[in-house]
Amino acid sequence: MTNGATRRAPRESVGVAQRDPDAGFAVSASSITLSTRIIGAVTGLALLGAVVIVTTAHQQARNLVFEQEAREGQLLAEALRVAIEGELDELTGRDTNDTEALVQRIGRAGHLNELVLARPDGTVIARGPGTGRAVPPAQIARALGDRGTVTLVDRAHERVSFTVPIRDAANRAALVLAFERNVAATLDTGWRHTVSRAIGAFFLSGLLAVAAVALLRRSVLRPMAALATQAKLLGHGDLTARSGLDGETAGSREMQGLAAAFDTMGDRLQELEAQRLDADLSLRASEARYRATVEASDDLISRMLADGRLTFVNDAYCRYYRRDREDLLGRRFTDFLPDAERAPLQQLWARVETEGDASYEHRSIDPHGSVRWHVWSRRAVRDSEGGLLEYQCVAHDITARKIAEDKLQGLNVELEERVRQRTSDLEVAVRELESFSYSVAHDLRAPLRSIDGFGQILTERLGPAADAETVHLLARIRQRAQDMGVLIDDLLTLAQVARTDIERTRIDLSSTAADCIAALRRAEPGRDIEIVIQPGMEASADAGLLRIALLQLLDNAWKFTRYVEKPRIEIGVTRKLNQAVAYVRDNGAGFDMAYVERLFTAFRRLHAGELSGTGIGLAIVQRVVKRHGGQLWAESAPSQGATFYFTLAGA
Amino acid sequence: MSTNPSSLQSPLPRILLVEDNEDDEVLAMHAIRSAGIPCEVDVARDGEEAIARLTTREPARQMPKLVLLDLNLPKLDGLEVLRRLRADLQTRHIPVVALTSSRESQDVLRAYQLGANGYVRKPIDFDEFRECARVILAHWIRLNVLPPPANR
Repeated sequence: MTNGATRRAPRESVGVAQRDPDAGFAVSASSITLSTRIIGAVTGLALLGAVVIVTTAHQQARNLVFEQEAREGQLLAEALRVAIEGELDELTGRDTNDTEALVQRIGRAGHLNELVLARPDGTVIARGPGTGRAVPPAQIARALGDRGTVTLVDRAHERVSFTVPIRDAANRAALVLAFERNVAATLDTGWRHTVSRAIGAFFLSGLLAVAAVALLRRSVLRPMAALATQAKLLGHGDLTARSGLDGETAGSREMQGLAAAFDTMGDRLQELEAQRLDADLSLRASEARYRATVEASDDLISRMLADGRLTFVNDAYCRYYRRDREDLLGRRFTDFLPDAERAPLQQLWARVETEGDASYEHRSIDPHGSVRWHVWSRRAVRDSEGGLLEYQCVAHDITARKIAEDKLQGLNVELEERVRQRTSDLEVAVRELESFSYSVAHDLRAPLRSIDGFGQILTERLGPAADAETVHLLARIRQRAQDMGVLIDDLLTLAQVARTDIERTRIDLSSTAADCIAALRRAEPGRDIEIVIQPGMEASADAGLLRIALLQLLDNAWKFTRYVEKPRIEIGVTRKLNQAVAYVRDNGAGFDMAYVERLFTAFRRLHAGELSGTGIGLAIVQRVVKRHGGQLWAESAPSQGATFYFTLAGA
Repeated sequence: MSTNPSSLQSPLPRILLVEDNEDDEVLAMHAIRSAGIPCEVDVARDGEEAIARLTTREPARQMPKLVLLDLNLPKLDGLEVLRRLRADLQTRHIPVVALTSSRESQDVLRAYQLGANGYVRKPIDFDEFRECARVILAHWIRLNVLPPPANR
């Protein structure tokens, strides 16, 4: 997991080492350049100084030579003029050859290059040594003017020429003497002198430079080389390298400080390297674990660019598509799908394109042609700016689960079908039961009716003279028949309560109770019972069922107060546990609370003989209350009366 | 059948009892007789027989003045018999009293909807049945058949 940046750095330092193999044992390239530069610079400066000195000196010398020559020449010219003017008569009178010889002599004696004696019109009378050039007329004219001797310095040709007017006693221009002095020789002497001074200066500056370099090497370059070596070794990865410079060898305090800084840097680098190695080790370990996990996974793990080109696949992916990793990478994952799979998957891919992270179940046909189910989860891998780099996809094979699900669904369908069948069977059975109930009501009651009717007819036939025992037995037959009729009616009521659908409405509980009492009074008009009905009671319940229940409770109370002196039945609503609770209270026979559980079970009776009922009444009440989601309970003690409480949820 | 000296001059009103159960027939006859109302009683055993009796073109005086119709009958049930009686011009005016042993009020309601004129529940208590039968017979026979009491 080393990233590019950290990998690149060492490679560069290796490159340096290759270019400079003996680095570390000699002054480093840049240090050599430095000393050379110093020497070069000093030498260059010396040379430049020498050149400037030479040039300046030479120029000054030349000027001096020219000035001296001009001065000397003027003195000579003056002397010659005096001499020639003194000899003028003779000269003009003499033979030309003599004049010539004289002039020659003068020339040689005065080291004159050119010497010409001419007439004012320019005609040469005599020539000295040299070429005997004609004197330019302009010079002659100037000389013959009031200027006197004309000195002409020609620096370019290193000549100084003089034109001297010679006058006679009458101060008339008689002759013109022109000569030149040879400056070159004098100049040569001046030049050599200058050069020797320049060379001296040069060597002096050279010596200075060498001394400076020596000093530099000792105090700067050597410690610097040591530091450079250290830096190079550090750069090569030898983090134990130290400069080894102490106060003495460092050469200067600054250098010593620098060396200390380098050593500190070395220490710190060593420390960091140790940390990096640690981190690297744990990173490698974690990467190995991660890789092992990814590779060992049976899930198909891949990464791909936005266009679907694969950049990573794990072993499971390769195994699934039966291809080498090299075949897969760089190609679109859709390329490896069976033809039939490609279009739908591309559509799916396009759809999830906009959704970013997505997870979907996908049915596919693997390269072996069998149907597989995968759950794909796709995550977008983004750079720090949120730009999409690639997608990471993990496909988990859920074929087994899908098969199980399908099987389960099949089973469910089958089960539902079976339930439907059973329900329909049950409905048929319920209908049969209903019709059976009707038959029971009709067919069982009919013979009972006959028994009762015939008993009555028989009693009437026997007439008043009949045997009392016979009449009593006939009466018992009739009573039992009627009891059985009531039992059948109660059973049918119980069945009816169980199957009627609940239709809740607002019910006036007080008037319902009054109706029930009225019915009981009609059935047994002789009873003198004090009835207390709390006015304004309301309930939300099924009207028919509530009436049945209330009638049963009141009938119960009616029955059990039969042998009480001042019978009293009370119907009201109270609050218990923050809940509205209706109650029916009587002051009748009551019962032992030990048997309260048996109270609401069909055919379980707590009383025998005169007070016995069918044993179904309270079971009917219980069923009505339960069907309303309410509760029914009782409180009593023998001969203390009984109170029946009930709630109707939603009441 | 009760015989009456005046039967030749003014024949006794006829009652048709439609009842399949022999016991119930005996009891009903007993109840009618003990009600003290003079009449002749014909009995039909099932719905088809009842329809046959009522649609036979007999002289008007032979037609029953009241039908006591058990609702629970074999073959054609009582409600269907009632529907047909009410659909026939010949018989639609005849009062019909339904006899029912049903606990369900639905049958009584249905019978009234189809045009019954009254009903008697057949309870197990014979005394109660006899009292009911007596009241209702007295009501319909006196009302529809006998001359007003003032004329007697």
